[in-house]
This record gives sequence, C-alpha cells and structure tokens, in this order.
Amino acid sequence: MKRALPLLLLLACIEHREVGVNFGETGEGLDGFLCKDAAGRLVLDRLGDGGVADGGPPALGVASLVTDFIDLGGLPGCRTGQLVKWCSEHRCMAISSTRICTPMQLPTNVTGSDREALRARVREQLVALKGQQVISDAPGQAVILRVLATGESCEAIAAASAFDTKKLVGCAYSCPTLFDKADQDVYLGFETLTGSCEQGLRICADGTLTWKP
Amino acid sequence: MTLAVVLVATLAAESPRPSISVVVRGAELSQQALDAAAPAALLRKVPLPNAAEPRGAPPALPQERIAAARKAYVNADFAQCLEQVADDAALTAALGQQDRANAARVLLWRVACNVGAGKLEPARRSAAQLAAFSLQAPAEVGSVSPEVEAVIARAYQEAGGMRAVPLEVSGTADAAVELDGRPTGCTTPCTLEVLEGSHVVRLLADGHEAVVKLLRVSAPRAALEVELPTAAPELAAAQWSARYRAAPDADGASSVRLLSTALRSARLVMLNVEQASGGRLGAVLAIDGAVTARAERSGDPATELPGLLNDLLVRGQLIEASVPLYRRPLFWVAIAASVAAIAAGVTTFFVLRPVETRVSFQ
Repeated sequence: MKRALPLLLLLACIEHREVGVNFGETGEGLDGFLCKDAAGRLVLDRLGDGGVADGGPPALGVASLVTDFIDLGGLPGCRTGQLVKWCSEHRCMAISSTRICTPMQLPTNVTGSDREALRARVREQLVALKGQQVISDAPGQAVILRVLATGESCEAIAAASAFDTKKLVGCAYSCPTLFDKADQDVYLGFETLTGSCEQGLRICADGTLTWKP
Repeated sequence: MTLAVVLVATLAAESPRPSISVVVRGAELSQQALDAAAPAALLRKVPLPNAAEPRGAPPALPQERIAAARKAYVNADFAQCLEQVADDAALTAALGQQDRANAARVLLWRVACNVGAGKLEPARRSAAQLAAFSLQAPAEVGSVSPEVEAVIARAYQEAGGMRAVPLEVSGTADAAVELDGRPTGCTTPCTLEVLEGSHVVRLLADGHEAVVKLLRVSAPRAALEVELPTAAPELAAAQWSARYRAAPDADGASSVRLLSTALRSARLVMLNVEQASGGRLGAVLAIDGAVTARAERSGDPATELPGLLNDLLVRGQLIEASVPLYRRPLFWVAIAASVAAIAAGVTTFFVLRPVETRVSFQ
C-alpha cells in the first residue's frame, strides 16, 4: 500500500488526452491506397491471390494494417519533398515498440474501377477500425504516424526486417506532430499528383523513409 | 530538503562547545549522563581531591639541642650552652610552627647561659624577648639560678608596663594572621596591638602558601604587608580536602575557588546531587576560580539535570540561551528558500507535467 501511494499520486497528476486520426472526411487521405504500379495495375490487386470472394464483386483481400510512429529527430516540414530531404540528412526511424499490426480486409481485383468509388470502398473498410487504439501513450517527441497496408501477414512482418515492397497495397502518414500538444484530430494522407505512385509507396514503407530505387 | 540543509548549516555554524570540568558530590553521576544532559558543552567529569595535608616540616627546635643546652648549663659550660640555642632562625621557625613551648625553653636557656657567662645585657634582651612573645615561663625555670629567675621576672614586669603598638597587617586579602605562634582571629587587612620588640607573624590563606615573617616593632606604629605566593595545585588539593571535603559549605565561593586551583580548572562546575526527599540538585559554576552562576532544582536528578545544567551554563554565559527557531534569521532565510524551491517545483511540474496521449482511429 505504501509503495502504491506514490504511484497513485503520480497517476493522478498525469494529464490524459485523446487524439483521433483519420483519412479525411471523404477519404481524401487514401490516395496512397489507390496507387498504380508501372504496369498500370492498382496495387490493391496484389491482394488478389489471397482474395476472399464473397459471392462476387466487390471482392475483398486479406491485408495487414501496420501503424508505426516514426521518430524524425526533429521537426521538418510536412511536404513529401521536405520529409524525404530531412530523412536523408537525419536519422528517421520507426519506433519498434509502437508498432501495431491488425489483420483486415481491403478491396482487390479493382483495376478498372472508378477511382472515387474505389476510394469509398477502401474508406468503408477502414471505417471498421473506428475507435481502435493506435497507441495508449504517444511518444513525447515530434513524430509522424504512418499507416501501411500490405499483403504480408502480421507474423511475416514481425519476423522480417523490412516490408516486402511487392506486397505493399497502401500507405498514409501524418505531418510531423507532437501528439501530446495536438488540439485536434490528426489527418493521415498521401501526397501524390498522379495515380502512378507505387514509388512513393515504397518510400513511405521504408524503415528510414528514404527512397531506394 | 532545502530547509533541512540550511538548518543543518545553521547548527554547524554554532560556536564551539566550551570545555568544563565537573565534580559531583552526593549521589553518583556517570559521564554518559553528563554528556546527554548538556550536549552544548563538553563536560569532563573529574574526581574530587582527596589529598592529605603535606607532612609538616621537622621541628625547628630539636629537643636534643635544648637538652644539650641544659646539660651544658648544668656543667657550667655556658659557651656550649649558648651555641646550642643561638639559632634565631630556628626560633622564628618554631613560632611559625606554633611551637611556643620549645621557643620558651630556648629563650630560657639563652637567659640562663648568658647570665652564667656573665653577659647580663644579652640575658636581659632574651628575657625581654620571652616577655614580648608573651611566652609562659617553662617548667624548667625552677632548675635555673635565682638570678636568672630575677632577670626574667623583671622582663615580664617591664613588659607589663609597656604601651601596645598598633601593627597593621595587609597584603593578600583574607589571610589568617598568627602572632608569635598563636592565632589572633584577625584576617588581613587588620591591625593588631603588640608590644615593642621582635615578633613572629605567620599568614595563611586558602590557595596560598603560608609565610612566616620576623619583624621588629617599635612605637608609635608598625606595618607589615605580605603577598602570599599562590599555592601549587597539590597544596590546594590538600587544603581543600582538609577544609571542605566533608564540609556542608563545600559549594561556597572559597571552596570552589580553592577547588579550581586544585583541579587546574579554568571552568569548573560543582554538582551536588541529593536523592533523598524526592531529590534535589544544586550546581555552582566557577570561571577562573570566581563563582559566576548558581542553579538549583528539586525533583528526580536524572530528569532535572539537563535543565539545571542549561540554566547554569546560560547564566554563566558559557552557552547561549536557546533562541526559538522562528526568531533566528536563518530560519526565515530557509523558509524563503523552501517556498521558492516549492514554487519552482510546482511551476516546473505544471510546465513539464507528464502527458499521456491516447491515439485512436476516428
């Protein structure tokens, strides 16, 4: 009891905050899930082999949604170019203890679908995650939150040192943020001007956020 | 924490503990009890002196020489007789030792042998000396010639007709004065009435060595001033043991002064502990031999001892009275520092308050 008292006092003194993350009101942050590869196929189709036919379109494939907090060692700007440049000069590293891997389903066999309709379908799947905890105590320093979808299983991800770039199916990330000071929900998005953004996906999935051809 | 550090620093800055010798009379009191009772002072328990008076000097006038003088007188060997009793210094010393009987015998044989040798003037001077010292004629006067008796009788008669001369004795204060081997009841400074002629004055005082002086008194007045040498600690210890060890006034000023000398103590506390009748404690503090403070308490000595010693040492200005904490400037400095530290701590806490942010999908 005597030992518990200081702990209780400390806990009583801790400020508890809640911060939500989202992909935009209409899923505008989901561009990273709508990328096409060099052959013009949507990367979501990579889930096709493991796809679960539920009686016809829309088909869903098994994916793993991986959330990571990435320590940037400072506070760079939010634009992709700024982030990539920063991380080429600084040590950007995913904080391994913050990783959560959640199995889920995402649309597959979607090449040729209407982009906005596909965005809505992806959003529909991600809405199922609403309320799911990303972390109970966010890092105290400026970090970015990265949400990555891949065809790899959570077990395979835990065993590997890096993601299999051929199985990446989506990515989104936040601006560099100090979550302890965040006064509103944090937006997750993917900055690209074209649908052919598989290369950006690889950079997004890289452990150090650096581009590797 | 800050308060504690400042208070410790305050205590550490206190003046060093005075070293004090303590003698305990009555019930036993351990050194540990003294240490615990007066942490502000360094009390050192010392035993009370229990020394015997130094053995007295051998008689200044040995019986053998007086007997030899008598034998020489009987044998009509007056020169030999006078040789045996001619030592004036020995006569003075004998009176200093209050040996009036032998002094009287020496003077008797001086008178007798001078008369026998036909030296009437020296015989009369010796007879006058006998009378001036107010010595009683010894029993041996019956064995001398009637002529000798007549000389002595005349000297006493002449002395009876002489006027007394005032003799002022001064010097070391409160010294007891003995005249011609007899106590006078006079303590210096005082005036004695004495007959003209030679006299032996001895002065004695506690804490001093005794001094014997031979002086010639002549009208109209005479004076003697003597500063007694300070007694060595051993002599003082013997004097204290003889006069005060069992005396009820052992805590008096004279006793404590003498004890300070005997114990070579610049600071001395005498504790009187009585266990009977519910207990009583008395204490006296002497600095350089002079009593500077007294304190007394009734009750259990073990309980009352700390308070008694504190009273005594504060009155004697050996330690400072304990000042309430709130009246010490450093206390308020410590309080201010503590408040500042707490304020800084609280501010820091709220600025750097730990935050736990839960992140979830919306």
